[in-house]
Amino acid sequence: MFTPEQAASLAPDAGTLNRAKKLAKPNKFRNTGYSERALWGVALGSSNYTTLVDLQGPAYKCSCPVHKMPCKHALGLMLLLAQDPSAVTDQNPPEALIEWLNKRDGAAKSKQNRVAGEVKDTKAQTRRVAQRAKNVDQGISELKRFLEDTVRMGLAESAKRTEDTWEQIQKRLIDAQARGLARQITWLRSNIGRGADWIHTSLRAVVHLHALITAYEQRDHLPPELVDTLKERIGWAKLKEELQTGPSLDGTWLVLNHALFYESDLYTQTIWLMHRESAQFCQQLNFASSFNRETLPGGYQAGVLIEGQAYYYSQWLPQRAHFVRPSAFDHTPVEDWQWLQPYCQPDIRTAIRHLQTQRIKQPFNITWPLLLKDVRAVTIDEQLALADAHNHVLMLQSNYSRPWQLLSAMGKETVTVFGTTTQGMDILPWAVLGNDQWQALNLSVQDE
Amino acid sequence: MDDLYAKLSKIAVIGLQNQPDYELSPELHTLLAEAQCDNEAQRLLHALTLAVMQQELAQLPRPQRCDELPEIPAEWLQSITQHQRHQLQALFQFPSRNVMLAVALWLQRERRVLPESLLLEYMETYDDRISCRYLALVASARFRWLLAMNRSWAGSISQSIIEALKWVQNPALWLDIEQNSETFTRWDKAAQQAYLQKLYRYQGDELLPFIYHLWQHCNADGRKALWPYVYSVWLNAVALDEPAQQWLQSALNDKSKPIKFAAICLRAHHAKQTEPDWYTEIKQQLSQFIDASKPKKPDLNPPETLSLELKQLGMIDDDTYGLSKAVVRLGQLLVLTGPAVWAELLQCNSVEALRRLAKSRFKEELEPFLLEACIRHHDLAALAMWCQQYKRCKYVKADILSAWLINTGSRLIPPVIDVLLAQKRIELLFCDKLWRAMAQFGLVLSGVEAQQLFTAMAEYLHKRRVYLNTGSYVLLGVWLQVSHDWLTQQKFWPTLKDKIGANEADGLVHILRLTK
Repeated sequence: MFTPEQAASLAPDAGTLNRAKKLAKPNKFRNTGYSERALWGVALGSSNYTTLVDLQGPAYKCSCPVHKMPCKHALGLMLLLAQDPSAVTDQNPPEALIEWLNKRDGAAKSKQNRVAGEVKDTKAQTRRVAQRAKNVDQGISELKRFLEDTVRMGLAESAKRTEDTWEQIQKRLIDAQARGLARQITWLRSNIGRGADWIHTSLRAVVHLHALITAYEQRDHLPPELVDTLKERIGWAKLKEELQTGPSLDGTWLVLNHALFYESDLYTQTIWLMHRESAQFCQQLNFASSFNRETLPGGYQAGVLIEGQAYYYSQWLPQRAHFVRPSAFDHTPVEDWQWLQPYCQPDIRTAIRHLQTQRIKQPFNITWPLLLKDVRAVTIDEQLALADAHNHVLMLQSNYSRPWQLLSAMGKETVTVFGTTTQGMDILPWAVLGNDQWQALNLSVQDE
Repeated sequence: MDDLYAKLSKIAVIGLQNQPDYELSPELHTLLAEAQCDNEAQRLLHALTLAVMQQELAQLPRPQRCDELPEIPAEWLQSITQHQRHQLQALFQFPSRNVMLAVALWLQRERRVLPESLLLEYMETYDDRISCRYLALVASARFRWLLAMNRSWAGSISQSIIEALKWVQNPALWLDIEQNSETFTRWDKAAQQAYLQKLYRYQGDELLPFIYHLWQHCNADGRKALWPYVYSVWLNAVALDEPAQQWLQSALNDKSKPIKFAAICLRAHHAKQTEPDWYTEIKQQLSQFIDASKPKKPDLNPPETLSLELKQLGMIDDDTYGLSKAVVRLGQLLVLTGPAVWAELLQCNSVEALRRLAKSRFKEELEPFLLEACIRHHDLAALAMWCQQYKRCKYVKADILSAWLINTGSRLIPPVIDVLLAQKRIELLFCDKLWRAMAQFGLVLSGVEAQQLFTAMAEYLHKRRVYLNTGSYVLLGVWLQVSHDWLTQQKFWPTLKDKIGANEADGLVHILRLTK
């Protein structure tokens, strides 16, 4: 079925895993069973909870009041059956499981139908598309005026704008269905007038927004793949199922990192992968509301190889993707890391030159992955940085809050570092390869 | 272009309305003309976009002068094995301070280091001061290197561990800190014990000057905490040197009555050799209240008044025992004189003297005093008899024993172990303070002893309705160090698992695997 370690890798956090391990005992469940598709059982405690796990996904359902999924009961059931498949006490799947699986299958089918173009009312659909485009255009013209006002009054004065002014433009953009732009305004608002390098940071945010909306206005003259990318940046969401008709890359992938952030009832999961054959990167960005008991894909253990297919959101910029695995439980540990070396940038200058070339082609992308070999930790004016053999230096991103963790992993060794950069002048480290060990670095919320 | 970026960014900051007439290069002017800008602000935004992008894209890293990190100091503790690392990770299933304490004690005893990755994980769970002090004792050199480089990097690391590391690294520095701030006296007892336990590992001649020095700077609570350490070193001392005499004199004049009384007891312990006249005097005082005309059945007559002589010997009227004042006075006198003096008076050995006094008409009231006397005067034979003989108040006795074990150090362990094994006083184990103290002092039983004790404990549990919490079992496991293979093969294991709970049993097995 799957190993306890594979089950453990689905845990949303260490606390839940610890609690689940305590529950993974035959006397803590009754009516346990499993099939190829699902697991089921009743968790015993002060109250009894019906716990169901759909291994396709995986997805979880539990009658306990906890919003975070998988909850300790679902994870505990998985751990129990992984440790001891003979702990099964009930061969017949309960009614609740059959009903839930049918519901899930039905929902998946109707999603697929929508993707396949089965539109019930084509006229209404056309009307909705036109209305959305009109809304976005309206939002963009308001944002244009906002940016013009910003440079007219100056960034210094804009930093003093009232909360109402910022909130108003954000709300307008959300109403205009341009959430991508609204997010960037949030970012500008939180950085303007703050931090040592705020002028450049804010200017970059302003010109990035300006470039994005100017390019969008010229969309009739641009290649459709680029227009797709612009639309995604502005806020046109694509259904994951919709992506499966677009560009994709199949094969073996190295899990570079797995990070989870939590803020205001929303989990944000960031997973970076690298295709073993082509060294193509893939970023998975998943969101789950804890309030709605949504689940995030599990089984991504940093430093292992997994099989799967990345469906990229943009053909123009194949980076963010929806990743589909045949099984969330299969992975292969890396025995020898030599294969990775040719894919690493040999030094910092080469890496940044390569990056800048890419940035010219992709000016609308913000975050770039970097895989650097033979770098060491140094300090410049007491600030921590990465340096190569030629003493070319990349500072750590100013909001990186756990340099001691990086130092703990690196020591004074020369190692391979995976990280991301925004403009090629600093780096947010995500993982370190030293002494043939891949060590993922935990990042806290404010790091991203 | 850098100039253009500088110029345009300045305008962007102060605002176009404040500097409307800026000039652009002719090339840029032509370029912007093609962009068909609606207004000046748009024109500036276009120009800024080009300038920012060009400025950023033109930037490539250049060689810089950078400072190499300092060398990582050599590790003087042994590293843990991969197996132990896995076991430690597994122990995170049991987030209890006792588990952490057991791990720290075990590592400390084995002189093994807790790798910083695990230490950081532990610290996220246990960031209180006491836990940190234990963790700091087993922190790696690499961890201290990491913190020493720049404290600002350690912003999210528990301040408690940073503080704890200070005293682990440098007791002298700690002494300075304590002298200046007297923080030692504000520490809670466990923190003081953790530190003093570390001190206890020092040789007496290193420890004593340090304690004498510290003594002068502590308030009464601090002096009480320091007392057992100097007391335990002194108890077997044949003669007192000059600094020791000075210290004893200051303790005899201490404002704190308990310290003063303890100092008088210490004086009395050595009096036969050092002050024979005074020794005779205190023996005479005792004889006034113990009628030894029938030495086998002495009659006790507690002092009805607190005479000047008794006051000079440090006796006070103490209501805390809930006994009559006269009995308390007699009790104090028994503590002061000790089993050797009773034995002389009753013409027998100290074990017999204790037995006779314990059968006297005030036997119940005098119990705590007799026990305290055995401990203070380090009469291990009498103490062993005491533990064997008296079955009442067993928990109280275990509690008193453990408190004194903590205070007097490892010298008291052998008789306690003898009692536990030979006399089958297994119930004493259920005072967790007792074996925690033993674990702290690094006692390790041999395999057979441990198995005997564990079996006796399991049988005891089987017969009675006694439960231990997880942490207790974990600590007990560390202390006993029976092998998990042996344990899980025992007949009593299933019953024991039921008694303590499957999860707790797992914790015990994990810690035994770790300490294997």
